[in-house]
Amino acid sequence: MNFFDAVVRALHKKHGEGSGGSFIMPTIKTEGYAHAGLRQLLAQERELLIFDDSLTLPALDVPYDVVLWNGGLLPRAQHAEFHLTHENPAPLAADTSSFSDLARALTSTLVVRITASPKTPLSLGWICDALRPAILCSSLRIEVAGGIQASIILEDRALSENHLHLSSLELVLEESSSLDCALLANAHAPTSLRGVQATVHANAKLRMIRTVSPTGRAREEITCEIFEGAHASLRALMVQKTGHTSLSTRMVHKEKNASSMQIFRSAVFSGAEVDVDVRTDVAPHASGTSARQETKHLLMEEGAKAYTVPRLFIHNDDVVCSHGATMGHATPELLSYMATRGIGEQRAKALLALGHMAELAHHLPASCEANYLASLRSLFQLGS
Amino acid sequence: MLHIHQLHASIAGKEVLKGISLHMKPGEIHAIMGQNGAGKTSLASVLAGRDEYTVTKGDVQFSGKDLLALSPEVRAREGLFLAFQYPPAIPGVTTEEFLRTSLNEIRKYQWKSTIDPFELRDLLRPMLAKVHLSEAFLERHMNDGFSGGEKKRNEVLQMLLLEPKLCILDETDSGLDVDALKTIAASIRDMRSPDRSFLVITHYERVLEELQPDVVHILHNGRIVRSGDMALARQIEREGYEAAIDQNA
Repeated sequence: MNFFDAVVRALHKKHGEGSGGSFIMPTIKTEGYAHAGLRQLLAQERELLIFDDSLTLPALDVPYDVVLWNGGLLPRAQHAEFHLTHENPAPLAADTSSFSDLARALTSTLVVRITASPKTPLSLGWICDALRPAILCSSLRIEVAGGIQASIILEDRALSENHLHLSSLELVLEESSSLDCALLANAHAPTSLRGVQATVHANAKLRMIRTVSPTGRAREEITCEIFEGAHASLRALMVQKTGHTSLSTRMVHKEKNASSMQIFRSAVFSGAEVDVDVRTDVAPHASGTSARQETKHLLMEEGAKAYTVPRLFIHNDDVVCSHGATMGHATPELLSYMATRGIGEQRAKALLALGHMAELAHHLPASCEANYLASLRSLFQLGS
Repeated sequence: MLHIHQLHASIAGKEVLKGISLHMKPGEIHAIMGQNGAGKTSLASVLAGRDEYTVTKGDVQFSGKDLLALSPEVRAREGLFLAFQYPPAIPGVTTEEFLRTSLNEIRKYQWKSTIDPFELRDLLRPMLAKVHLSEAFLERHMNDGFSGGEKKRNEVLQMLLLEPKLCILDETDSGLDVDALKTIAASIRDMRSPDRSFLVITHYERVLEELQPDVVHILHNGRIVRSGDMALARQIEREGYEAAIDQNA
């Protein structure tokens, strides 16, 4: 029986039996495959869906494990786990179209469980490439386990290039683990992502940074639940050329001695609008909480609109919470100084806006920062 | 180079310049000395075109052009440079980015080709050495977290890069230690040329000993009340402003 027959048979069996049980697919091991061979395999056989933690990709040197979570055909509580490694190339040489369809039907939620520290960030672009059929899912769950440090870059561009519409993202950081997560907007189209839900368990650290598309309308909600001794930071960079971005964020301190930061920067052009609803909740038993909110809107032109609603719901006396929100045009003092250096008002404002955003942009992954700043230079017409 | 005739200016309704006349030839160094509140910074600011000041009367010709009719950025592009006493911080904008933008704006105005980041580094390397700053300085955000000395060196670095015709230094020597002062003075001396002039605003004779100005003026209550040579600066250092002004009266 080849690999795909096995999948189909298992599924048929599953349906035949109703909703009970789960099934494990045959193992296909990757040992013996050189890097180039593996890449070629992935390029030719996009239906290679799932890897277990015995698979090490030489390009990324990332041992990890991907689990398909069935939210479609099977009840969500009874997920189907595929633990596949490549033992024999023959199954993958088979016609895979039926398996591709199967994967589409199966996956409304994709779960990526990271169990070893990658040396370079995981990229959604790469995952899309490798898991093209599977990632037609509308939601993605990333779990970081075993106290490891991981990082992931999720690019809207990679999603749109793959005609994917990911609407929700769930991040789960198990105890003492750490995740740097960059959610990067497409410069030319608003994101499909509508919600991010993060759970940061005890002593874990989540550092998340979001860029939003400068055009179109988008509404996004980000919520983090933070447990004892954990830290969560959320930074968002919003340059709004046209349209309207609405960002609603919430840090929920569930247990004691946790810290959080919500730091946002925007640069808004005429006719565009940004609104930020930023909220911190501190539970009654979450003593020793430290929380900070900071929002700075720079209005580039007359007719630009920006709003911030800072909200703090504190149910414990032993907390340090701060919030600050500023909004305004470029300061005359700086424009005046720049004028004495030959820099006219329009260009000075653009340079100040670039600086305003660059203050947060250095928190982007090093591989993305230069591209992001280059896109801003283009947007602000600053040249290369 | 610069001809100021009966210049009157006010800020927030208060007259701060009350009829200043001053004539500078190309290649000359003029020093302006005066007590706090005499109008020294106001004069520099009015010449640079800072818009919080209103010129109520008078005329200023700079290289044959009506300076007061030009916007501040065009004055800079025409070759007027003001080194600020308190240059502001520009968070997020690297010094390199700022310098390149400034230089290219001026070069475009002068119908010269713009320069790329690599050319800028090549240009800046010897200038940085001259003001005793490292290349890493260029990566730092403009004046953000700079010490007082670094800010002043940065102003002089810009002056070296932009090669203005008229350099106005507003108390660039204040707050500097002796070594920094000598470094900055040496940079200014190096820039001296037959077609470049300097207007040096200072409280101290020390920097003037380094620069040896052609003319020293005392500004008092918005007017130039006395002009002379280095001997006047030495007299001020020795006897104070009041005595020097009284002697003139």
